[in-house]
Amino acid sequence: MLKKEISDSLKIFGMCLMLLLAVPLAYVFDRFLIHYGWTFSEIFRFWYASATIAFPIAAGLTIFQSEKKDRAFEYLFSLPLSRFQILMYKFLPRLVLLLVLITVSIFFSVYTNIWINGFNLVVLFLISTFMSISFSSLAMGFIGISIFFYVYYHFSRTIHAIFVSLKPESMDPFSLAALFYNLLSAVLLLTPLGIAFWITFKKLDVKPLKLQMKSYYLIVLPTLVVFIAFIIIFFKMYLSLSE
Amino acid sequence: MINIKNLHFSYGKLKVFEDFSLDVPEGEVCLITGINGVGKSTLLRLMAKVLRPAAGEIVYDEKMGEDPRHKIGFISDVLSLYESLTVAQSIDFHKSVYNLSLFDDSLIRHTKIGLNQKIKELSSGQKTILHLSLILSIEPEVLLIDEIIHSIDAYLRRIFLEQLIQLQIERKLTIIMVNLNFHDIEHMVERVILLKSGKIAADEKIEALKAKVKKVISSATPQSIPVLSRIDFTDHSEFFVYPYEKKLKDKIDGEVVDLNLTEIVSAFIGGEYA
Repeated sequence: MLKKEISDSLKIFGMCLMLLLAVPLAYVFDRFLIHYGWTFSEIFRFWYASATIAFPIAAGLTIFQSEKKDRAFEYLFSLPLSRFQILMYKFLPRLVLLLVLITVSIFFSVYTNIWINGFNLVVLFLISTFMSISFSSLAMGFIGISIFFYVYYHFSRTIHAIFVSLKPESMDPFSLAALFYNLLSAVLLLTPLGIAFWITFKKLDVKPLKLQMKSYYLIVLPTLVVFIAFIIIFFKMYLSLSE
Repeated sequence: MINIKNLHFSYGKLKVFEDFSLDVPEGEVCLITGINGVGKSTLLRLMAKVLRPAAGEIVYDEKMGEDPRHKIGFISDVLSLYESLTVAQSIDFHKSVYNLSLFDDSLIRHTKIGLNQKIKELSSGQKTILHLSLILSIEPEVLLIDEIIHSIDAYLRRIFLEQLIQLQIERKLTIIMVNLNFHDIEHMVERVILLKSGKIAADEKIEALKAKVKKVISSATPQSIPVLSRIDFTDHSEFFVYPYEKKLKDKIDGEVVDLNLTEIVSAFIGGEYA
């Protein structure tokens, strides 16, 4: 099973890296058609950043894609594998490739002006993985992940703003403090999301998915509401204090 | 071998089984039948552990180990496999999950399935044979087979059934089948279970069932006789009687005819629709 999952993960990785094929095309497009004046390095940075964001989303969201596409859940669940084993076989190859991508990005950042927040990529991957179970279409999944990542990002910024005495100029996203608040936000958001995912996945069988999502939504939706409420309340406070 | 105790299962608000119990002893070949939507395939899926009961339990013999799925071969009616894999990759996948060092692909080769063909390119008959090869490789103790055999051609069906018969003779497998083509399996089946509204309406050994279900050909409607279903013709009617007893013979004005398994099951199912 590990072989299949490594192969699936590499396919997704390859597809995301194919975004880099747009670099020479965009360069040619700029040089001969629109004359916007982008340098090759600027174009590369943009598409490289796009590829690094696309991979954790695609890797997480498609974790059960082959089962959904091939209607193979029945076959998978008939195999003598525990749910934890299934999850690890699927999760670990994707995580390893993500860590490789982050490592390469750090290496790049030493030599070029590419700044990739590796921690946020891991958060994005976990959000995508935990939400993969709840969407039948990738487009809907992408919208859901965008909402959750947006909430995570602004929650992190909001608590950072509160804790640094509401000084926006000190909110360097690459500072150690920012990393701490990212970590805190990630733990607070991903814990209920992960619990909802695990409870649902542990009991998942071949009944229609919509009949099995009750406990998932009972945990995830209130979590989302609480986080959005927090952001609205404290962001308002933040704005009023900074005036 | 299989002990189903007080099983409850529903799809949302639709209750399929309520307090359902059944025992299947080791080595028995059992046919589960009933009208569409009665829960035959659901019961098989529950036994295969791809569906989880809301309450109750399905207990397998201790020799099946802690996780009985190691020794259950399940072919569902929807042929679930990783279709984007090739046949060879699918075999590799199966071997890795079950830690198999050897795989007998003679059945696959015999039916001219290419090892490099993608599963999605195979016909349903070829997929069934591939699935059978996969589950036979694990040397199952229990085989659960849904009514997939209808979709395969006569030649592949013969190969499929020959394999089943050979296994049954060699290893005394417990086989539970759902609504397979009765002509093909009549000589294999030892027990027939008829489901009705999530309950067992009839549960008989095949010989007992044949003795208890008879067809009466008569121009008059028999009185005080338990009739399952009837078919009317212009000059006479056929009455399917269950349970038939010898003492009923005096009450019958007509010819009493023995039935084969297909006719018996049709009579039961006809009664459900009447």
